Amino acid sequence: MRRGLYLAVVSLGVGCTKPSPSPPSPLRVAAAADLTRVFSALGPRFTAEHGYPLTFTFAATGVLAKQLEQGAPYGVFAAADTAAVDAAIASGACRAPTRHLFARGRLAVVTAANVEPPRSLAELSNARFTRIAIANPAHAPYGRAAMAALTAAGIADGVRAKLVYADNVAHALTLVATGNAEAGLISRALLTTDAGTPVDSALHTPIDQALVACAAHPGAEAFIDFVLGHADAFAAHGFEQPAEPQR
Amino acid sequence: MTHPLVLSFSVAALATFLATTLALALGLLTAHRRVVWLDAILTAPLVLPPTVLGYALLVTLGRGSALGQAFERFSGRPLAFSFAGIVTAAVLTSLPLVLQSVRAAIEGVDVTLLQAAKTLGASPWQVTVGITLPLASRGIAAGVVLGFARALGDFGVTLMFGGSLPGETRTAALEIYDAFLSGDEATAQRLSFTLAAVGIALVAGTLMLARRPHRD
Repeated sequence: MRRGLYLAVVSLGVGCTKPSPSPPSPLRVAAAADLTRVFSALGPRFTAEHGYPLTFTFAATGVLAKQLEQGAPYGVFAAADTAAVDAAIASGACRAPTRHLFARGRLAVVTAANVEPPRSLAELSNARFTRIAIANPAHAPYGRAAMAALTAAGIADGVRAKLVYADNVAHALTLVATGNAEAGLISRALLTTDAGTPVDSALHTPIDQALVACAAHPGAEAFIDFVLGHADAFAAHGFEQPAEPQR
Repeated sequence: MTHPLVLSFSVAALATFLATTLALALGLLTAHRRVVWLDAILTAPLVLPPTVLGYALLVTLGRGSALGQAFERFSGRPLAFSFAGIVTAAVLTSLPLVLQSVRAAIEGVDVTLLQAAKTLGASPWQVTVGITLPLASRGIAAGVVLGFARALGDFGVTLMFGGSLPGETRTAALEIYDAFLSGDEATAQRLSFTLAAVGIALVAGTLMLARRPHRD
């Protein structure tokens, strides 16, 4: 209560110099789960610079696309594949001219704390890996990439019975981190350090990250510009540059 | 931003109020007679998978539906993925519990008392407000408490029809799921204990209401 009063007094003081009738409504950002760490780090900086508070909903790209199609009021949609963004545009939920590629994700193999990492992807078919966590390929781009990589490595049929389908790629990491799966194919952008072994990106189609403005919000395009202007943050979190030229 | 627990309790309170109003109306209208198909439809949410209910809500009240579009024209935003949307979901899931209790309580009132009041010249309204509802009050209260507990705990329907918008549709039940999925066990544990404690206390309250003999 006292803090509320203090804030009220402070905002009154601010109000004297710069009239601001009401605090801006939060910009709702629907973001693919692999963006959890980098967006959580960038969020406060965006709010400090532009004044719009952010709320993030991190989930599988396909789940968010479905919600947008059904009218979910997200101001920005940041997806882990371009097809989901194009579908959201096609359904009329998002605005084509604001669509931009901003990063390319990398698939990585992680192992639980007490498990020796495999020397190659093919080694996942070894009996010492009884459970391998991947994101659900039905609606998660990293899950599709993981299946493609396992198929390209020639072990998809061998490991199918060991696969555990997580809701999204962050959940797949949780399954490994808690020791419930010995290994997982996840996004490198979710790892804190150099943990995990990157998977050869020739084994799957590129995991290009795209974002687009959807429900009307004055901060939506500013957020997109902010993301495009911070390629360094994405590089620091293990993303690569997308190949397609940015518009 | 609204705390998930505050959001959960607001949704549950509003949904319980609406479900109780509906249950009282339906209970009084259908007491002592069985409209089998209406009963079946209103009770079905107890046994149907949440995914079926969530899908049904999206089909009947989502953007593509006539009702959903009417709501959007009226309020300026879609019902799906909004606070009003998850209240609707909670009404759907708690109504069966409230209705069962309310109707059983209304039917449990001694008919001779009602007939005596009528003979003495009481209007149907006076009989309802003066005799039926006071005598059924304990059963109605039990239904309200159970309905509240059910609304507080809804997960699947809320997730499908409400998405998981922080501060708007991400209730405590959804926050637990989200925290668990992303490895934030501390939050999942704290909220789980809170909801479990509240749920057990509410059910205990219902049992006490049911057990205590009537004062009259």
